[in-house]
Amino acid sequence: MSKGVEVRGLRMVYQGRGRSVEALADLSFPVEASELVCVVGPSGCGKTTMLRCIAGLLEPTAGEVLLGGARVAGPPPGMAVVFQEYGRSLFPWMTARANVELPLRARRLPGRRRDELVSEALAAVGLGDVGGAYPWQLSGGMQQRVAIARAVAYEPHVLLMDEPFAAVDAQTRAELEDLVRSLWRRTGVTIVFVTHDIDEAVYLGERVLVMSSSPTVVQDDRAVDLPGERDQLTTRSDARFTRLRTHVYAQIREAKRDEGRAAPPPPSPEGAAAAPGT
Amino acid sequence: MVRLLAGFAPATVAGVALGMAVGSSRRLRAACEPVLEFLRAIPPPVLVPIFILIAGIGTTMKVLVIVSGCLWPILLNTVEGVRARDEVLEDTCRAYGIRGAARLRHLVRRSASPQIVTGMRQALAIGIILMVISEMFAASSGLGFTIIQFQRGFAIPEMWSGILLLGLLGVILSLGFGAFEHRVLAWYYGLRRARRGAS
Repeated sequence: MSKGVEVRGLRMVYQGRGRSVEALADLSFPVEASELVCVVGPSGCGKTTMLRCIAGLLEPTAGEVLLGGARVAGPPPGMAVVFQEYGRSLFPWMTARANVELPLRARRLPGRRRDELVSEALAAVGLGDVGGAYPWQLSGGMQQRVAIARAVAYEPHVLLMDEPFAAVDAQTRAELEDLVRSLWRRTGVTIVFVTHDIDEAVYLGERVLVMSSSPTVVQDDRAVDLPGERDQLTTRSDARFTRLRTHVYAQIREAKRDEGRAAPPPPSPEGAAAAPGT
Repeated sequence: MVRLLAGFAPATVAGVALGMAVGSSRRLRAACEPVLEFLRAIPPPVLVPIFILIAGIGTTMKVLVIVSGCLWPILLNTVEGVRARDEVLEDTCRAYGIRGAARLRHLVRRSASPQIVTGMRQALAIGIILMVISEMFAASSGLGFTIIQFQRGFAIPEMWSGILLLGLLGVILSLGFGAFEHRVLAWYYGLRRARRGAS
């Protein structure tokens, strides 16, 4: 069911007015099928750009992304994305249920199968009883649950998550992290999870990729040797967790220091305005 | 009255359809926008003689006048609404393979609907004015015609009653439209309330 992803020599250069910004220098890494990989990097390092390239939403300047061996050109079927801005990625004119159902309609699944998938997905994220509500009637955490349910119901080979919990409060975030872990363990879907939160990356991932600052390369690639069954209390106080976290933190700090050393002279205001966000 | 609806309905359909086309394509918009602004700036009553030339003095002419007045606010508002659609939603549609007619229906039209409704409201007001005016030219029936008839016959109380009736008609249409608006845009008002509550 799930497929692997391979990123090969991904390079992205934004052409601004008279100035080009190299967001991604040369990114290459494989993601095995059914793997949960967290990508963490300093802010502004092009994590979102990379994810959009993998999702086929953005055409890279050079390099390619392979999904199950096939080259990605445009958003491929079987790839679901959960965006950071939950408030803007759900259709406000549709109920939660209709939101989850819409991609399945586009896939022309028969009605009964759709109902089944939608109910299952909503139940899986703990929202079995609020399907009739509109997104704006739900809290931020619940809205993001709906977005996750939509991705799960889509039965993707690969699930891409772009800092999905950056805008929810800390307690909700912990719950949602556990939700992602349990969904991953149950469905075995390949997950690429982008975050700026080092703890989150180590807690969630089976493997953590550390990205350098822009122009971005993969700075470190580390397997997470924590048990499959994780718990917010015990895992986070585990010595291995602390060690990994410290290691990743040091990597990020190094990435930022490199940035300070390699930084060009201060850009003109116009150039700064043309620089892309993450 | 029937003419008003006969003009308003096709103007809405055409305005929304054209507006979605123009709003979706940057090149089309760049080409059309100045022309549209120009056409909108022409007061429709001055077109009445032209329409009489083209379509005679029958019902067709009156409906055409109403269409020509109602079309522009709907069209231009739709263009604005389509343009202002959320890019995250656009990405969502692309990522989940929502394309073609489904995308137009679920994304483009719905995200433009608040502006479309605003345009329709403006168009309705213009439509009423044009209905009366077109009935004052070369007509033999209708409210506008009746008011002019009474006025020319110095039947002043009857003329006033016609004007009052016209005002009443406007109020009723506006109430009806308000009800329609609240049904179609319930999500929009809810969303706005929720956003205001949060910030």
